[in-house]
Amino acid sequence: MPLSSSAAPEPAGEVVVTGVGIVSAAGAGHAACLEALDSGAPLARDTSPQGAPQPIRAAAIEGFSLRDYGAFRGTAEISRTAQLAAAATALAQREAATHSPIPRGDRVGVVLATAFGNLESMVRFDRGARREGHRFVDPMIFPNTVLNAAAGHVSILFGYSALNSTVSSGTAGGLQAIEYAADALRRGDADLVFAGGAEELSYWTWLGERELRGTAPFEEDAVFPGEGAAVLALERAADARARGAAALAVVAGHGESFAAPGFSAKETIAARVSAMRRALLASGCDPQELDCLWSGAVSGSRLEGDGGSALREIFGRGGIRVATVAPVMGDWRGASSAIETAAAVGFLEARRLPRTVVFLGGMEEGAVRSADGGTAPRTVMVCAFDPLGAGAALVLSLPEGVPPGVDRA
Amino acid sequence: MTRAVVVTGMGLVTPIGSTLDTFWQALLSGKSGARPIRSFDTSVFKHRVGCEVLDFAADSSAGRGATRQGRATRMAIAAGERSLSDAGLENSLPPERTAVVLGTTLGEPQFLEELAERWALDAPPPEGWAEVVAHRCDSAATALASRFRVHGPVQTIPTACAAGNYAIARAVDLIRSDRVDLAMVGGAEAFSRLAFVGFVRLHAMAPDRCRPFDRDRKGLLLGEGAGILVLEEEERARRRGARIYARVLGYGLSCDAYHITGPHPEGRGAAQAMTRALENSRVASDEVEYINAHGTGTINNDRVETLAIKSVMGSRARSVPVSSIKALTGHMMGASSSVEAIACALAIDRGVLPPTWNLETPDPECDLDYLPGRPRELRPRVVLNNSYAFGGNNATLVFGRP
Amino acid sequence: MIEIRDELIARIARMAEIPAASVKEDVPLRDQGVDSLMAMELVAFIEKRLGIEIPEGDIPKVRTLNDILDKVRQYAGEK
Repeated sequence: MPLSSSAAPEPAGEVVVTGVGIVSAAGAGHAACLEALDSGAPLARDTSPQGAPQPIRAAAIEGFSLRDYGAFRGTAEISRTAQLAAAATALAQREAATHSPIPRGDRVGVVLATAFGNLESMVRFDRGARREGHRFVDPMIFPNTVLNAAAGHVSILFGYSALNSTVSSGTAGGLQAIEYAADALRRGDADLVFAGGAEELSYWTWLGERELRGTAPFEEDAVFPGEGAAVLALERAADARARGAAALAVVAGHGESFAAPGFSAKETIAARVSAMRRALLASGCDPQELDCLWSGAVSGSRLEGDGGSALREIFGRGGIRVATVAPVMGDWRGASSAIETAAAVGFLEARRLPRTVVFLGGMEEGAVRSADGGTAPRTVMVCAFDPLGAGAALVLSLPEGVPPGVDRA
Repeated sequence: MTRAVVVTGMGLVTPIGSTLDTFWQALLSGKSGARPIRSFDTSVFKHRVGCEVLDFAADSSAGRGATRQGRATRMAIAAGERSLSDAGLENSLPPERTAVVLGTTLGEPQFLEELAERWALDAPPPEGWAEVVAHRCDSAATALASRFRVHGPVQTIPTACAAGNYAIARAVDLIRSDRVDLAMVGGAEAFSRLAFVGFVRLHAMAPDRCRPFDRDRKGLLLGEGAGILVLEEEERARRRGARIYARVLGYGLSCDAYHITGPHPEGRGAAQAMTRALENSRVASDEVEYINAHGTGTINNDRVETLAIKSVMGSRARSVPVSSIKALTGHMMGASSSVEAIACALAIDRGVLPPTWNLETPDPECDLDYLPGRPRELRPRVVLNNSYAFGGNNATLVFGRP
Repeated sequence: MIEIRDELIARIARMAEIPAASVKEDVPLRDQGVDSLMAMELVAFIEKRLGIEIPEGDIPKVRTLNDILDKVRQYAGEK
């Protein structure tokens, strides 16, 4: 299905990543994340998040304390989602400020994606009000019941006031947040934006997903819940160069589309192809040149359902290398494409791909193949197609003039 | 070539009317949506009044599990249908070149609230979490996009009480940057016990009436509703002979980065949103002829918003009419700024500025012209629509004549 | 009264993350790092602790620790 003729390329103004912050069950920072992805071992363990009545199997961040990331004050009552987001932002900020300070706070913005970051707070507030009475429930829980609280807290803690927004579109949210930030940079509304996502583990989300799935054990290759925050520092390339900040990757192209569960298979595939083609077109990258696709799929059957046919249409018989974060880090829900993107940037910077074993059950032969750990990538694409319909794709590439690294045979 | 954005269709569901005419008549005549709350038992509270939408059918029990749609979603779809038919686009949205961007505060809290009602203290949690998790806050946007077979970008921006304006702003960018030609935008919010308790706990809830800018104002009244606007690229709209209510000249967003619930005490963020909006629209402050205020009726907001307006409008401030329709609609949370955007477009279209009702005693700290109790015949050239949210999210939209 | 004062000071110190010794009774709480939400929590603590109810209209006028103690005296008498 051809793109409409008026599909213009992305507006002028190259946006680059100058810092990455990841807080996950693998530990703090992207080195820990890359190591975990290389090992391929699932980080799920039995854990009781936030005082859950019984343990669940999830990739939890044990012993997390925001104090470890900076001398933050007044953080006791902010939600875990906000704390994770603040920690990841601190890490991204640190990396972005490696060679020179980042711009002043009134030129820095925050855009975060989350889907369930407020559920735990909603339950606590409601239960608290019923138990203690509405006059005595802790009022500080109430602001955490709005989904934009996490981004709001990050802005308050760091003094970032140029721009602040929250996006909530399930797995596609992180990519939408990144593009939202990139657009703001292209318009000159900010000089640096921290964009990404955060999601906390909550027993209630787990209960809901289990009810939706049925109480049978997880599908063999399905994924357990995870939690964490992944934040990228984004700037205009010229600004990064001017202040001597290293560009880790270029945000080269973006595409979005929608395909509701009720749409026909044909419409759905067309929409997914459209999102990915737009991103490729905007980046000037030919599908055959793409080194790897970071897929937000959380299981083999989901990958096939989500993108199998669409991938075949774009990448043809040669197929495409696929890497995923979910089998190791778990399902990050509203922040999943944020962690996929952060991992993709991390591996671009490391000049290699993870040795991920891709789900192969149910996939047509050759449509996808494992990232084999040997390729030194130049251009990768992250895609996410949420079950409710929102879909997005983002192409990242090494900055011009940066040597790509050597393919290891 | 700059692409301009116009409003070619509008639809709403509000506590004071769910057609444009009934809504507008209520705004001009002072018909209030404030009533004793029906959707939950208020006997344990001292506060009993809210602005519920009475003529919107409670969801039927037909269809259990994830197939049941939440109230906010159903209101959004109803408003969406009306907006499309108003625009004359029911069956002719170009799928790839249309976006849906909505805002909300709590999404669909009813599923959690229903469960909470059945959950005795100190008992294990009951079943029903599937529905809580299935009805995420992007349910309304995705249901709307599904219903109208949209294939373009679909986004949800849950920036609480400023969400509608944020959603509209995002869509303005998508149209200006030639990503889409059309967008269904706005916000939806269902009446929620949780939000009610929250505002009571914060001592921000009025006992009987919402009285924006009044010296004796005691807080907000909670409301609910949905407001959807059809935004269209101007050339396209003119080519098909669409009826244009108003132009969306631009927007300004800002972030207080000050406190999670309280505004910056001098209104710095609010002023910044207005200033940026004027810059984005290439309009000077002296062209502004009406401001639709956030005007929640809380002590803090109204005082701070007044300061912010003064700092932006300068010596002209007292001659720019300002009004808040929350006196009648209550605070519809994620839907408020989009319904207020509709009121702005109607003010331009019909040449009348809606009053601020319930303003009986002036507050020395709020000394602008709030149009107390009387509409003003005026077809404003430029209108501002303000909204401010928890988290320090501020947004101002700028509308102009077609 | 002294007990309540000490308990309040301890709470303020914890909320504002400052040493108890530096909590001032006549300086606005907001200037000592106690924001409006925390202040509501303090009022609720008093109400629960002493079984009293401070009228809605009085609450915005509570600015300092002394204001809170005045309310305690007013509604709970010397204890």
